[in-house]
Amino acid sequence: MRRLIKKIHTYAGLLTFTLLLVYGVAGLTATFRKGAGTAEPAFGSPRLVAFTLPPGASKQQIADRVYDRLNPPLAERLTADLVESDVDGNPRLDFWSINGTQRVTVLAREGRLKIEQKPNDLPDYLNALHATLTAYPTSFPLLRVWGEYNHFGLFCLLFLSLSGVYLWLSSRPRYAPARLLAAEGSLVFALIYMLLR
Amino acid sequence: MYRWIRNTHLLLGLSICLFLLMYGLSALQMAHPAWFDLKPAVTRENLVLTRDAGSARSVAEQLRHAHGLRGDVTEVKATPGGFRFRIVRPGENVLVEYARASGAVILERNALGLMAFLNRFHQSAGVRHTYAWLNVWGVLSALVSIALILISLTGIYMWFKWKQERVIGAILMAACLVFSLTLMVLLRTA
Repeated sequence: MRRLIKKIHTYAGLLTFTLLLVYGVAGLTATFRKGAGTAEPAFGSPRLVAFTLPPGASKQQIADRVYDRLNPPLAERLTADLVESDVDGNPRLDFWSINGTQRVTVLAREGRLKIEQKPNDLPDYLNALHATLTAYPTSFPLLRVWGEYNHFGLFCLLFLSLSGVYLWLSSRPRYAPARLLAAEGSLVFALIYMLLR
Repeated sequence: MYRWIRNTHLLLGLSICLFLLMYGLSALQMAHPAWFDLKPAVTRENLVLTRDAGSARSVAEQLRHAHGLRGDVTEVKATPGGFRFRIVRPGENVLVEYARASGAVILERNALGLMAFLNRFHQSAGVRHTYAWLNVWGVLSALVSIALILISLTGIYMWFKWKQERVIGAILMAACLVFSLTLMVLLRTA
């Protein structure tokens, strides 16, 4: 039994090696990038493209026409409630994807779209990848495949954690440093759990 | 060398095991939101504090001392008669409305159930919170991330030293790398 569990533990680790590294980088990115007060990267210089909007178009029609005009890669269509306005009252749409955000301002009177990009760098890209799950509907097959792999990875993470404890208990349960670290880890977790609960 | 790596793998794994289970369970909830009920238990309370409090922070401080409310002070907004803000930690989200003239406070407490708490716990990050324990958690989550990377790398070494499993392992490892790296490059360049 122990040998079988050890084999599956190893196979699961090998099959999810990349994902585990992605999770690790995502955790570090979340700590040092998102929550450490570093300034959000600004949008790059805008480019303009021709665009005509029928008079009296609803927010949903604006969102759909802009999406059809630009087809922003890996970004989903927006619903009407996500269409905002800039300070001049022009409709503004943010198309988010794992590679960054494309901000589009509809300059209806000029008959143009102003397009600004805020690309994600590699750590932010990996952070976005780690959060790509099957629960979020997507029309992009590649994202669906990644979501399935991520889904597999989360079950493997649970299995690796539990089987790791089993492998310890079934081989060296009296190994003092392991007992100490298991107790220390549990205590720290319990404390932070209680303080944040 | 092998023994040292094996012990490192074991000790790191045991010290972050509960954290990994928490991450796994909360990710399961995020992947299957319909499986879990995340609705908070909402209660309302009316309190009276000192009048003319200067800031949301000072009201939050009074609430912490007198009523045990703990968390980050966020979303501070001025209202015609005072201010409104939230006191947030992963287990509870409290909306506070304070009236300067009377010192009256209306609290709307949203207590999260276990899975909703784990969701917020998972997503809490950073070290610039006004609630110190959230900063401690930010540091801990970074340490867990480093440990996870080290566990993965030591695991690869241990597999490589397990001679009977080298062939099957190499096939699985190659499959993982080709599949995931190809996907990552395709997504990055889409």
